[in-house]
Amino acid sequence: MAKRVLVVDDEPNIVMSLRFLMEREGFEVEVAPTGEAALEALEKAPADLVLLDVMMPRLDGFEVCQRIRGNPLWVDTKIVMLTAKGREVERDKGLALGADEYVTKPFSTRDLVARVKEMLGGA
Amino acid sequence: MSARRRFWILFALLALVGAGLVIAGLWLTSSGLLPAGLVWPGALLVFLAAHAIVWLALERIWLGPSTALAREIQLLIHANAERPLTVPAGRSLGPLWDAVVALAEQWRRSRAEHELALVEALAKVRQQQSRLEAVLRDLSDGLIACSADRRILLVNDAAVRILGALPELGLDRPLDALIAREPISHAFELLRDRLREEGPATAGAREEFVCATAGGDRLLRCRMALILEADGDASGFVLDFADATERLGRIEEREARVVRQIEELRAPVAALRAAAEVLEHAGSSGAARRTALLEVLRHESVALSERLEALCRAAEGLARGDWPMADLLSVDLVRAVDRRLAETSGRPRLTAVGPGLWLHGDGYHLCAVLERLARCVHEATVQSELDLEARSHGRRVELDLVWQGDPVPVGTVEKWLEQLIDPATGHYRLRDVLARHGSELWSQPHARPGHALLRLPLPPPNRPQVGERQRRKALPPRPEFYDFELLARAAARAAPLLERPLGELSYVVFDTETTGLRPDAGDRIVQIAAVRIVNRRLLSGETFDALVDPRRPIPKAATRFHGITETMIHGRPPIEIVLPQFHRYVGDAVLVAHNADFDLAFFRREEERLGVCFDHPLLDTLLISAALHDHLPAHSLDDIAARFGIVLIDRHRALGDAIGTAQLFLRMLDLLEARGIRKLGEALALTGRIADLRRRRAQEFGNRRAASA
Repeated sequence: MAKRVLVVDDEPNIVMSLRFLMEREGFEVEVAPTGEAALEALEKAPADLVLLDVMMPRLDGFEVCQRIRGNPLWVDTKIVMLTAKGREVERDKGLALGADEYVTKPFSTRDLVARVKEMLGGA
Repeated sequence: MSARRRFWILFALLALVGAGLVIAGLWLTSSGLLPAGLVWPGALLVFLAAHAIVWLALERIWLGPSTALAREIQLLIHANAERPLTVPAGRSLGPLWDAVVALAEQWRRSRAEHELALVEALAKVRQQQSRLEAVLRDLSDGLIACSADRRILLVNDAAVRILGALPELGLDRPLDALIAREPISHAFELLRDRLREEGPATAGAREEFVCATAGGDRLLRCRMALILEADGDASGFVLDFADATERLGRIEEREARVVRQIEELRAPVAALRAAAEVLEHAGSSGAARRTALLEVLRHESVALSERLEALCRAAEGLARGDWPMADLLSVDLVRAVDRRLAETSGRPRLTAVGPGLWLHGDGYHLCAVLERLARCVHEATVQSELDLEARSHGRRVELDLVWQGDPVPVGTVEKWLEQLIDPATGHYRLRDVLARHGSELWSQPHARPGHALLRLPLPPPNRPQVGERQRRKALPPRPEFYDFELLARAAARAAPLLERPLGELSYVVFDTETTGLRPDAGDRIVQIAAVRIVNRRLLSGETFDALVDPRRPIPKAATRFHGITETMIHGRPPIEIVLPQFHRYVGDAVLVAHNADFDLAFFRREEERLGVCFDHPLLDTLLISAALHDHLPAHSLDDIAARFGIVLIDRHRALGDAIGTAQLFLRMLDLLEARGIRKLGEALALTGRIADLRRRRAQEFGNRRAASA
């Protein structure tokens, strides 16, 4: 069965590129433009990996991450934070809240794909 | 019986005797018992005898006691106020006596009161003075006070810390040797002109400026204020300064870097944009061009990413700007927060866990933030005992607020950060304080099961982390760090050196120890020590003491004399380094030494080679002693000390001898002034004459010996 990847970001341009990259690797891709939408989507069907932006209105990526980790049903879901918040403190915060990986924008698409494949053990 | 009555009785008696004698004489002569030639002379004799008796009585009743009283009063005034007035025999002075006794008593009492008041007032003044001294010592900014001609009157500890423990940084030294002259004199002139133009209302004005040290190696942020005299003119100024080199340098550097990085972004953005816009219309121009443009897009976007990273790094810390930050110890912070919590609401209580770590930040605001967060955690979790742990994480230091319970949701933490620190002081929220420290805040589970924490990462300290709290490196104590009498000297300093009064000059009294007595035969200096006298005060905090490597063996005889062994001078600097240091220490003071020619002979050998010149005026205490007591043959240091009753300590150690010579020199100054020798020129002329005399005597002695040989 194909692995499910949930892309959470409110910027349509980056979403387009991410969806393309993930689908090219054979992953099933779902998109959520806000934190609330992401949690709803996970309720409906849990994902294997979440590509999570931080800077979103109302529910930001850090809070979404904390909530995902707070739910025992989603303990196997990998979380990769993809964010413009690039300081070391912010990286530590993300990892402390339960992210498995913290990637700063702009990023190399090749490296991201390799990392995702590594984390999901291939499609 | 009063004096008046006694006098009345005496004169009445005299009158009665006189009358009696006349009556008796008349009766005797008229009755023919005795011849007239016998009676009247006899009567006269008796009358005179009666006068003599009255005079004696007068002496005893009045004159004697009153003279005694006058003497007693004189003694009272001039000698001992405590001595009681002795009652002269014959207390017939009556009211006068009682009045004087009462006056004496009153006078004694008022003098005692006056002395007591004086002692109390002096004690108060001294207390104020020592408190002021403590405040000055403790200032974190450097403080230097100078006279109008820029001679130093006051130097506090912070000034020494900032400028370094240089020999030029001392009383009565020129400020120009330490700080660039032009900005200082410009600021002083500006303030003084303003004072003249606009009057005493501007007296409190300050002039702020940045200037460099004399060596040009450091920048100082300075503020100057005038020292005013009673007549409203400025006799000097006070300079308060701090080292701005690092801060100014850092800020400038950071800004320059950021500006450069921003400029470097323009190129890749331009290339990207151009390629993208061209690509829009490139469909018609062929696959090769399309491929090339796509390659440009890819390449330039990577370049842009890299430049962006560089900009972020350059801008790191720019947000902190000019906020005052210092190294803080975590346990101190915790203690302060816990105290605030205990004083206000009593809950929660904070305990420091683990060793203290140093971090860098704004103590006041961090305390306020931690206090707020502790209260918020207490409200949210009902826990009243919280721990605060400091951990090292790479370069940063993390403060963890720990409680028993669950982590706090991100949303709640964000709400906490929106709170104002202290509504009274305005607009700073907890979030702003965190931003200033380049920090974030989050909650996560603690390693200990059932516990959670709030983590606050903070910048690392400037100093290295050490296990123990380090005391600030103690500077050697400088008990005499000011002398405002030097203010009055500015005008006098304009006079030529030889005309200056001896008591006003600054002296450097020095002594050397050597390998032997013959500089021309290879003997060299092994130690130079000196002490400074300013305004007749020996500055115990400003001594010079250096061992010198003579680069030759030290004879045992010499070591027996001064105790300096070859092990002691091992690794010491040679004369090439020490003599110029000593030259700097002397500055423009007058040199004083005992048998100065001996020491100077060693200096002269090195002068040309090292480029230092000891052409200062020189006073030789040996020659002064010979001048003052030329009838005595003995003028060694021990002899002179015995004469003045001074105990020499550390004899034949250079510093001990220098201090001893300095103490003797101060006494000699008094004697010279008593002899009418008040100016430097006069003292030099005196010692010059004695030197000539001794030289001639030595020559004669030599000639005589040669003749008799």
